[in-house]
Amino acid sequence: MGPEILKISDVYKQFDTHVVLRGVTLTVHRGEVVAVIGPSGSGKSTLLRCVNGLERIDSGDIWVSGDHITSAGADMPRIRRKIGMVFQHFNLFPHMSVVRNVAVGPMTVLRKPRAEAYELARRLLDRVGLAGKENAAPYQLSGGQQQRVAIARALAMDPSLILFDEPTSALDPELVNEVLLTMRELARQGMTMIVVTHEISFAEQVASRVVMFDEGKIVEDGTPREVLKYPRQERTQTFLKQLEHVIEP
Amino acid sequence: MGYQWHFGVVWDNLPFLLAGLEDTVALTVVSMGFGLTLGLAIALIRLKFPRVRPAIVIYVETFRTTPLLVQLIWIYDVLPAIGLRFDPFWSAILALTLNLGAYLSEIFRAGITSIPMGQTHAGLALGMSTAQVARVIVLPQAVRRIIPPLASMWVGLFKDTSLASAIAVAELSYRANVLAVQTYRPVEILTVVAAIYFVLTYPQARLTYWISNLVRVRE
Amino acid sequence: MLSPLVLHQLPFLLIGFFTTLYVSAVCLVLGSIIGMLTALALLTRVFVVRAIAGFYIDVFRSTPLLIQLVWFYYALPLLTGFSMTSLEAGVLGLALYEGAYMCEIFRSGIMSVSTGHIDAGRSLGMTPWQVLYQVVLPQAAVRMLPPFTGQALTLVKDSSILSIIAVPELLWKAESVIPISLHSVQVLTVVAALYFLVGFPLALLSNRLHARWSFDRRE
Repeated sequence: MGPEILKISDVYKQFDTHVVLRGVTLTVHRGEVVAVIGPSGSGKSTLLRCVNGLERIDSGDIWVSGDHITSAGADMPRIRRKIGMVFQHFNLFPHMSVVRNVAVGPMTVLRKPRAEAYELARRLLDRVGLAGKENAAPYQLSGGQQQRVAIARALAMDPSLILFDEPTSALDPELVNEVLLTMRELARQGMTMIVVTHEISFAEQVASRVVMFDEGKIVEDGTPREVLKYPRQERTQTFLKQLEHVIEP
Repeated sequence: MGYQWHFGVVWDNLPFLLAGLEDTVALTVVSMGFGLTLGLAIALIRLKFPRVRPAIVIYVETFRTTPLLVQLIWIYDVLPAIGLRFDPFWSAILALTLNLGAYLSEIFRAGITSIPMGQTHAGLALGMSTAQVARVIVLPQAVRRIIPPLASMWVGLFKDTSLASAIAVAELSYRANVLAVQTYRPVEILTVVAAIYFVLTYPQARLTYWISNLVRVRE
Repeated sequence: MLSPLVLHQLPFLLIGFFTTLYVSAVCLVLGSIIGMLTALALLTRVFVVRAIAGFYIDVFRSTPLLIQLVWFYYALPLLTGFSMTSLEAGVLGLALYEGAYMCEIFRSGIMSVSTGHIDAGRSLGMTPWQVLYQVVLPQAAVRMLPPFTGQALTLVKDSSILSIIAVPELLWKAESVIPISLHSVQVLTVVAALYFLVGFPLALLSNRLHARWSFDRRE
């Protein structure tokens, strides 16, 4: 197993009176592809956003490649360079072309010269299968294409870890596949990924590890085979059964 | 029964009338300059310092619910009472600026807050500082949303300068009224002045419409 | 707090306040009728009708209200031979002015109703008038409410300009009272407070309606 990339230790978080994370502990090593599944509202997305500091935790610790997140404070931008994020609603910048969306990170944050950043952007767009779309505006692309641009944008920063927050939940069913394929390619190339998802097939076929979340805690953690085929917890079994009914016509 | 139009009076006094345009334009340009600064400052202060919000809301709502004419006269009358001697022109500038500042601060605020939070999060997730997010992501988009109402305020301001005539600023409307009384030919004078306003305002209004379509955001 | 000289004039001011409200209400109704008719005129296929409506709107939106009122009071009687009281001229001018702005509100409301609904009505065999009445107007009415309330507020504020042609509304009464009461700032503050009393609820209503039903972007 590779070195530790992410260590989450006994993290608590609440919004007003609602406790969203109750003592979450998780360690992720380089090269792992972790699928996080669980019912809506169980805290999965919140946990992701705590990892890159978009949300603040109330107690506990998070380390990313040795950097302590909670005490980072003003240094968060530097730490975030190493953590990529892909959002459920893409969040592409509508006032920029596709290629500029991918290049803006390297240009503004890594201070790369424009030519170099654009060259990198074009290569990445090619890598996600969107060569030729560089000068399009985001609204001209399909949802699946926009999400692939978002993945390229995250890759442009050369992160050691990418967080995926329900990347296919907002897509029409026929567009989900192209995004999942792109993500599988990334996994094959050794990227460390944490993917909050409802796509059990992704968890089965691509993830190296599956984590089941429920009511703010991790209730199951193991290989896809262990968690999906032979879950130990009843909650996991119930949850998976419900998903089965969703898939069947 | 026909009215006999005699435009002679108008031609004779045209220089006098047109000189009023100097003040009309000056009032518009200067007030807008100050107003933009004030409006932007208030919008930013309101976003950064939540504790001053009540004071700002009182200011904004006061100037948005009371008539501009009342504001003009009030300020003109209040200045000597607190020991300041302002020219009517500058008194009008002060009133117009305060009025504009209230409206513009709301326009700026709406423009900035209309950018979805997801955009900011995406920028932060890339490692941008909040300043970079503001500069590269929020501001360019906010500007496009702000321009149409801003252009429309400009046109409104140009017409509102006519109210400064009530405190004896010698802009176009003031001169029109003075002449109409002096020459006993209100029909010709007033019609021509209306035409002058129209010729100046209508193109600006069309331009506003064109600009609004240009910067319309497509998502 | 208020000088007794000013307090003494309060009843007089309140009469002016009621005149303001009365004039505003009348012009709101008249202006809405004019605006609705003009909006429909703009939507017809008859070019001449559209052109006249367009011309009316352009003229009344590209000239200051002040000039329009003065023109209606001083110039129109000379042109037509009919005399008018200041109140009549004021109501006429203000109604026509507001009508031009109401037109835009109605037009946007009508056009915002999606063509799908119109198609549905027509395919049921409705005549164009039935489609308008049964399908378009009910939906349009709801969407027009927010800007309509906003325009009502503007109308109340604009009514203050009637003071320039000596219509005995609030501001005019205030100005006639100032020499007697000797406290111009106090009087004007009372005036501003009265406008605020009417304006603030209208502004709140408009904001609340805007938040619930905004028809330009989103969804």
